[in-house]
Amino acid sequence: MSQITLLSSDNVEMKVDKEVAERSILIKNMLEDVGETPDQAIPIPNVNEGVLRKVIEWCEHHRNDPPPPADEDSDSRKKSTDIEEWDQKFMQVDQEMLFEIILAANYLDIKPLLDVGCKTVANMIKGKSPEEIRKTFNIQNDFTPEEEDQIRRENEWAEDR
Amino acid sequence: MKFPHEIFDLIFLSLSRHDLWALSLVSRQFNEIASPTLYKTIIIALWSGVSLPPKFVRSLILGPPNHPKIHLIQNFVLLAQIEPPDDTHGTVWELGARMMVNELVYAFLQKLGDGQLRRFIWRSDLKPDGRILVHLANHHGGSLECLYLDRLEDLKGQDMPAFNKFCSLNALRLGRIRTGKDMPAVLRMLEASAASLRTFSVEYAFSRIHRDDIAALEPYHLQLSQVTEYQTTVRGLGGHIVNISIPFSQMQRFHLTNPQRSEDLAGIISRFDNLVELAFYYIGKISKPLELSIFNCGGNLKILSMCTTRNQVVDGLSTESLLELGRRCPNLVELLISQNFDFQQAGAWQSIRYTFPDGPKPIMEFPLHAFRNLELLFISISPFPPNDMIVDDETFNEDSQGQCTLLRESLEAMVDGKGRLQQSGNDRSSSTTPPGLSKKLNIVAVGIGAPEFNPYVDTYTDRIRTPRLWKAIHPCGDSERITFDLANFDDVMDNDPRWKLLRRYPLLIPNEGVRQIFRQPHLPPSELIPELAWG
Repeated sequence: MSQITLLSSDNVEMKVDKEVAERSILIKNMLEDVGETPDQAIPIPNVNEGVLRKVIEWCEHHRNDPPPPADEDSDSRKKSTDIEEWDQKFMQVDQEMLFEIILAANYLDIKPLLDVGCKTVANMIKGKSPEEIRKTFNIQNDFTPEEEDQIRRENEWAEDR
Repeated sequence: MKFPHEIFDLIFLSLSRHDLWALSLVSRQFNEIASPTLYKTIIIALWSGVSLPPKFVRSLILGPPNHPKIHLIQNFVLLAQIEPPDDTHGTVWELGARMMVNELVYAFLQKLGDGQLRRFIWRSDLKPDGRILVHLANHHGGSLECLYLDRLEDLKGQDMPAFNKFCSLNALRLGRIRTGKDMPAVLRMLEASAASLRTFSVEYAFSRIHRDDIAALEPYHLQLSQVTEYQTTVRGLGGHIVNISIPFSQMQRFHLTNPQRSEDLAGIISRFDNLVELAFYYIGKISKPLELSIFNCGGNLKILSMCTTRNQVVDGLSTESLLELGRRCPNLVELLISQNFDFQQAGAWQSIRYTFPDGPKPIMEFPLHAFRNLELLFISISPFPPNDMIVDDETFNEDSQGQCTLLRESLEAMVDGKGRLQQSGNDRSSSTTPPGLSKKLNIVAVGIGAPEFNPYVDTYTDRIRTPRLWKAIHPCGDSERITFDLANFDDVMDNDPRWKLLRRYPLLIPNEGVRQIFRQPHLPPSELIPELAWG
């Protein structure tokens, strides 16, 4: 099994099976362009060591998954309840790490991981009031009372469950 | 949370309208990023009573003249299931409901800017006024990609040239066109969108047409050059339009929605070259020419539905023919067939233990080994006792006579008929059919008539009728049997949303009954909008 080396944004090298790294379409395309297994480390400038290790952990676990369906808009992306148990546990990290994983999955073009991350965030929002969402994500309410009142009136049609 | 817009879009995809509403009130930033998704699709859902949705009227119709977000609206969906409180004043009641709904929708449409609507979906038995269609044509004809109407009538006398402005439709569903007099408007729409239309679904509520009406078709050039999916009734004008408009060689999905005789079906199906999905209703028995025309669909065919309407009894394919079907169409993923006569006698599934000491009698013979890619098998049974118990929620239970177990055993016996069927299969196709059972079978369902997987109320007994779903449990070794676990519609849906057939998605347009949508009103808007694969 050939291995390649990835270089995180904070200059930490990590060896990983080529097959595992190729869960990232970005890396896969890069390797295909080069044509052979590179001797030098591949820089991943947007992802630090901690996040990259998590992403590799996910790719290791899912190394044998079939490729995602070609029609990306298929219904399978829409439900947020169908996160695998292992993925659910994997995503039990602090919010900062969760958001970093999502951004890394987006940058590295790992769609199934991006989906799991987005569904995890969606599940954190579902069924909550505006105030509860603020608390969950530590967001300041920066509306003036007038602005908030106006938006409530504009969006009143969508209020009922 | 600092994400690019495309990530927020992914997160929002599974949120309900209420969740998006809550997000919009979190902060200025969230108001900005959630609003385009919140406003993209407006759904007016009217349940059984006639009452205006006050919050909708207040904020989007009677509100300030320049609602700051109304320009974000792209899709409009009406879901209206309106039933009169009693039978005595039904007509008057329906008229009132129709007027109210039409006024509401028309007032709303007038608030929109020109060219902003992409999808307009009218899911209701209440008919839309002609003026609504004319307004859509004049103001959104160039932007509308999907027009979906459950009913269409009274178009004669409307501004006909307006219908030529529907020039960018790629999905068009016209349910229950009332008379031939409505056809000129329809034909103008088809002609205007001939170059973009990919999916066309139509039902003609009339069976007879005057020869003048056929002559009136002559000026129209219905070369629907991009259409690959077509759902239609074929009789009278329907048959005529199919003949002059369908590019048979490029058609991929074809549904015939009224029962046909075998000889007529054979003539139609034999004209297609590349069908991936074929569904039809038939009467009586499948003839040899019809079998042949189906077999000739070959390796492209993935979905085949050949059942009947729910009040008729038909004869299904023989075991030999099923073997041949598996050999000639090896890539079938979903197969919907009728039980054949031999197995319809006396509800064999029910009378087993006492009369068949060797074990349960199969519900029918099905050579599963011949269908290597099959994932879903639907068996249509006759509507007569004791079969009706299978689909009756009140009588199908273990308590009375253990029907669940009896039927499960009967299904297991059906797929366990490996030895004899294998022999039979080898006689005809030893070189192409490898031994062993298909590993992909996921769901076996049993129901009455056509594959109406959604619950419906039997109009005679007023009881809920539900097809039975069973999930296949595959053994580890080849020598063991496949077993079945009773599943239900929600289990299957939640675990595997790919089952479009279970959701009645003919031609990519959600076609489930309005009742089904109301069963799950919490669904996010993305679940209620047609999936346009190319959009």
